[in-house]
Amino acid sequence: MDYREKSDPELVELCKRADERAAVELLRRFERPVFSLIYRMVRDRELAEDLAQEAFVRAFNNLARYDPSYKFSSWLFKVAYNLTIDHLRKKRLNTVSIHGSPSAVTTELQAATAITVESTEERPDEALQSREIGSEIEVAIGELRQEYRSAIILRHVEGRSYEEIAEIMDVPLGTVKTYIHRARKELQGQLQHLLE
Amino acid sequence: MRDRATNPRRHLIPDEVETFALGLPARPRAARAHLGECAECHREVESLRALDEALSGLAHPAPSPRFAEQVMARVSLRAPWYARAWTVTRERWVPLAAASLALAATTSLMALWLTSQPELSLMSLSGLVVQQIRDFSLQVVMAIGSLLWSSSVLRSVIEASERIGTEGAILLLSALSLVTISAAGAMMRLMQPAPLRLRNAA
Repeated sequence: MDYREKSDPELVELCKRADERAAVELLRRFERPVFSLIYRMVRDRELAEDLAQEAFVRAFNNLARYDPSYKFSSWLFKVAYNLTIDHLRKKRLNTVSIHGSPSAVTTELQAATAITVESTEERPDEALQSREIGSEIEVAIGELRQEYRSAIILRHVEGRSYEEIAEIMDVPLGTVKTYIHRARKELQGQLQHLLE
Repeated sequence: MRDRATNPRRHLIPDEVETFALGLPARPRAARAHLGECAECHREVESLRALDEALSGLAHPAPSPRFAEQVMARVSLRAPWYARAWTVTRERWVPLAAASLALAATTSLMALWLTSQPELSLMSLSGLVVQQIRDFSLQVVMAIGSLLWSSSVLRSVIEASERIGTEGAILLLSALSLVTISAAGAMMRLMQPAPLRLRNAA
């Protein structure tokens, strides 16, 4: 049985029948998007990994509660988002920086918690330029309010619909539109030189 | 804000800007005509298109290579009882079929024997069963009691309780109750699922 060819609902059904290989395939599909969302929300690799791990464990261990009328990915993102928001509320990490977690008090800790911008460019000069642009965008995203940041990442980086974002963030559709509109305006203002 | 039908010169609203910038399917002709004429709206659309390209081009940072392994070590997938029963039935159908046949045969034989004994009504049969259970329980209790009485431990406990008096016995009983409750609590905690482990959450 080739699990890579199976759809998400098929894999979820197999997981419900305790098929571990189906769970591994779902993990393979969503580990990067879920980790990226959390990483961009908390800006701390180690913490993001812990939270992403917890999100997957909770999702898999509570599959019986999953309503198949929703997309599995939306449900998974919702679990990850709620877990991260709960953690941020407890830690009051509302404003973060690409230069590292605000809780990092030494240079070493700042370096350890700073977001790493990857590049897919093959030529070194293009890769460097791509990384620099990526860093600027990450800085701009990091300066947004937590709600705006999550909404804009889900919309433009993860390609989620407004309805899915409303479901994930548990806010009305109109609020999602407002968050995204304001986030775009702030980003367009900060990244004007890159967008022209 | 007036409708485009009544005001064709009105600027694009954010939803319309997004529709054109992201190339979404619903692009009304009137709005398209306005976009062709209005430099301001055209700039808006181009700016959002550029922002979307920049954001969607961001890489997905990867977790550590052992991420999946660590997750799977903490996941316990459990199939519902009927699915597990079906799996067991499929995998071990020969011994299951043999056991079922044996069970069916013995119960049929018992039923036949019971129906062939007219003096054994259902009530008298159940009374017989209850009597047997009661006798057996009584024998067990008596055996345990005589065993404890003959053991030196029980005798020493009784002697000690006589020496410590009523107040001491009550105190001892309270202490024992506390130990029992604590032990029950510890067992309950042990049976709970593992708590949320977050390295930085301390």
